[in-house]
Amino acid sequence: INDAIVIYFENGVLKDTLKYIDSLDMYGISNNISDYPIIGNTYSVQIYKDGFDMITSKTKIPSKVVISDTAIVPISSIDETGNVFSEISVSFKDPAEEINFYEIAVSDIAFFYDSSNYFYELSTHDNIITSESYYPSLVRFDVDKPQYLLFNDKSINGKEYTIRVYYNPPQREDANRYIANHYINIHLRNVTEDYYKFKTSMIQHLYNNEEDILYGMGEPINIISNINNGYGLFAGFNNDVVSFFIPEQVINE
Amino acid sequence: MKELVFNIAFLVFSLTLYSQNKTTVSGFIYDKNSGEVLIGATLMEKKTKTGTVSNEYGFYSLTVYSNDTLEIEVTYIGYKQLNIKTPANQNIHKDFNLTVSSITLDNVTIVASKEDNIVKRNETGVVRLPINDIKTLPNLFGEVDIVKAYQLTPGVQSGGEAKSELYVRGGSPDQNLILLDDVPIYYVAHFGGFFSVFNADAINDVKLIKGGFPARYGSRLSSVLDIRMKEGNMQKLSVQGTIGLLSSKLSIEAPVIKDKMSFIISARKNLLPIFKIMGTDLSYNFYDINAKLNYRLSKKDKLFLSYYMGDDNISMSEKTAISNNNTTVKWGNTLFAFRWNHVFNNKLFSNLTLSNTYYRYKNIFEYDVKTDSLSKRLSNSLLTGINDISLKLDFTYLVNANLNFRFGANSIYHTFIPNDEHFSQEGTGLVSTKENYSSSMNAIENSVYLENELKFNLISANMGFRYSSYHIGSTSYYSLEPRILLNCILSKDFSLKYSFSKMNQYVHLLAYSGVGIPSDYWMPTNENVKPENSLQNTIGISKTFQNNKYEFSLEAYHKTLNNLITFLPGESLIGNLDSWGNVVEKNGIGLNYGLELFLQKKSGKITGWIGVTTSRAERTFDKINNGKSYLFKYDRLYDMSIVLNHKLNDNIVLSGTWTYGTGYPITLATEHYTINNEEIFVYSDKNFFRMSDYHRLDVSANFNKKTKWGESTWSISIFNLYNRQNPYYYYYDRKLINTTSNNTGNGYSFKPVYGELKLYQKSLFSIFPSVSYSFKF
Repeated sequence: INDAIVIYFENGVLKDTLKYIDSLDMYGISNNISDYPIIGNTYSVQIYKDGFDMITSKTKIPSKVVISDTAIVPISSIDETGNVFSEISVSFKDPAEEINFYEIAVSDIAFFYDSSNYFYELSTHDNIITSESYYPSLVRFDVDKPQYLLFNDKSINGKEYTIRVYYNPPQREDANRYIANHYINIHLRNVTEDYYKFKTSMIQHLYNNEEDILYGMGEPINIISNINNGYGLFAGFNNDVVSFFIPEQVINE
Repeated sequence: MKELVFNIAFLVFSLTLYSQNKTTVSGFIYDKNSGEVLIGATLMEKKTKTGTVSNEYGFYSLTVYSNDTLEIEVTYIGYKQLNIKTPANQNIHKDFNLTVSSITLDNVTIVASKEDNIVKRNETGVVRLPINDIKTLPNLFGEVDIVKAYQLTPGVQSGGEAKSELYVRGGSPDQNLILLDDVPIYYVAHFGGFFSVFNADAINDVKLIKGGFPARYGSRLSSVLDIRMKEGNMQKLSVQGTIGLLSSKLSIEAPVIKDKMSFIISARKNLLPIFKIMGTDLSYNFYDINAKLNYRLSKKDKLFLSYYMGDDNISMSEKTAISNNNTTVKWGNTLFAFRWNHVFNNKLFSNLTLSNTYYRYKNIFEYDVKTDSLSKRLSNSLLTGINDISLKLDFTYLVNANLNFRFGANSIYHTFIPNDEHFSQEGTGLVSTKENYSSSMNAIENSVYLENELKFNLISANMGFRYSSYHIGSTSYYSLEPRILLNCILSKDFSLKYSFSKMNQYVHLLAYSGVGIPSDYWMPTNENVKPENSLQNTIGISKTFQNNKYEFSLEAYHKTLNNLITFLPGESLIGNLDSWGNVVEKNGIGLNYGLELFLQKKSGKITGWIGVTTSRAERTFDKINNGKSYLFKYDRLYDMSIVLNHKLNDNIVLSGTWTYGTGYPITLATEHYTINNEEIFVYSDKNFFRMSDYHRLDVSANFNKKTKWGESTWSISIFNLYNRQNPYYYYYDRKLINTTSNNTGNGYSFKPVYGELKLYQKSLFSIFPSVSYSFKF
């Protein structure tokens, strides 16, 4: 639908009417692109289209939580098939005065993979994430690991915390095997509760849609949405990013 | 209160009536060859037509009012009838030893009991299947399975293709009280639910109660599966074993002191690495051990030690030159019971049981890596389980053939272990950490009960009550559970029955659905989560035909379940143990009703049954399915089973089972859309659709051979003979389709594209032959 009326509010005040942009196949803000949302402000949308119920949603922009330290171990482990796993540790201080929800992601900066949006699958042994409902249990050998690791601050509220996650870096082979040169972005996102619920339920939804003769099918789960009369998510996050270049190195097996 | 007055009046009446010359014969009834007790054997005094039935310990007491010599007839299906004469006017202790009859002998020796038939039994919803018949039924992978045999009876569902679970009258598996030698066992399946943990070679007797629960049973809402282990051969060393496709087993039983003390030990283990054969990296094994020691201390005292231990273990291991990665999941039960039977006098029998049952589920993860520059070690283990210590005292007071009382008390100390987690890490760049997070909760469950059984010509009854209490922290719950069963015997072969039971359950099961490997969390009733309870009414008719060869029953039941709990959508217990009440939906309601027809042929060369059920099972939770009622996952509108055992001669038994059932309810998507190229589905009404209907024919042939050293049996089974592709689950998919385009003058190009989104059905077992070899000497 490219002729809906999409009205956008900031703190209840009309901010803009979003126009359909053919080239992007989506609705976009017509004002200055640098007009970023402001931390703590409430943003809402109303969408009208003849023959449909009005769609509404609102969200608040969370505060920024900065990455205080990061470290990388390029060759952390090698599995039976020869796949190397790199370890990334991310440290941050959780704000004590608020309930926070986080997302960690690791993307490749278009150096090795032909996409700036390539997000690595991530695994972790950290209980703060493995105890989340969406994270596949140890016995779900059949499923891919998620590309986004979400967690809440229930057990770390107000504390400095370090999380370790693992990804499978690009590799190349001649006479030796190497971890290839690659750039990565490490993202720590402070997200809203709606965003957290949407993404975690979406990960579960996708896992439960996967069929496996050993495990059968999971109970179908609907994705939790903050859109009234619609599906999907209207939310923002506050992102802190640290970039790394990982030089090529030989894998000693 | 009215009920109590009524019972007292009956008691006074019967005591007055029979205060004449009387003779009481009491004792135990045994299999002559093995010394095993015979449960449910019938004694009948022929002149007075007074009869009784041996109890679950083989004990009987028959009081006869007569001055003539008593002529007592002892019968048990499959055994030669025994007749004795004994003088009147005295109290006699008499143990009977019955001999197994041969199929080639006259049918008269293999009759169903005249006294203990369905018309006269004060029971509704009770099914007994002889172990020997169960052993000849067709099976999968050569595994004899008691639970699967009971799934073929009306009102019982399996919970999916070849599953070894029990969904009784719309109840869930946690609502079944499964007793092994009087001790509850919490998880009853091996191999991801495909085989039950009960080794038929170690079992003496099994009984399933679906409704009309006597007051002596409690703690669960939907059924009682009462399994009695063998006691061990009192006469001679006996060994039996089976080699099957999936597992092999061996049982040894022998007297320690002849006619005084015996033991049985039975072990089973899988031998083939089944998942490796299927091409996965998983390593899987299971085992179970049953053991029992039986000591006849005196004519009045018997001691028993029972032990069961079984585990399933699934693991995946990755080992390289620098790292080692092991993931293991284990689950199983350990059970121990000490029992003391004491006969106070020829009318009062008691049993004391001290027991411990422990169910655990364990995840273990270990990872270590070592290179020139790096050394790390991580380990994480998670244990969840429940551990019960129980003391139970039961009395049976057999006043006369028409009146008996049972009363007793039980105290259970529950230890719930929802999460016992240990995490440690050490090595390069890591802060050495050892963290233990352990949560356990203790609760005490107490109960007392009184039940009495009255038998008159036209009406008999089993009435009683159970009073239970439960204490956790500062929270307590109390419950009075009345039990009523009335049996109007309208003629010698026809009766009308009614029963009412209130049941209470203080333990709750939270289980993740759709995952073959169990992840059961047993959780306590507490200040926020109330005990579950059920009310069940059953009405039915019973009839026998052709001198009790055929038993027929038609029963209608109506059962309500209250205070059920379930996970809120998408929630899990992990990470929420401190506030687990927040991730579950409470105060759920269940409504189950149905009609069951059961026609059983119990004796003769051809035995078997036809079971037909039509039923409905619904659930309602405020926050699930928008508060609307929905069908229970294993609701079945129609269900039918036909089971036949044909003993061609002493050496060959042919068997066949056919099952049919309406497809189980399923939740399907009604809309779909995409986000970031991911196909997203929108599910509306829960369990609104149904899978396609289920039906299957299994057949088997058992070839017995008597040899110099004993007996051997080849069992050949064919599962799903006509290769029906029954639904296991459904999934959405777009299959890749190869498209061809003509590049003018430059040949053809092929490009795979995703086809239309469709719903596909997955089936699990096609036609599957199995063979097993058993021996006995």
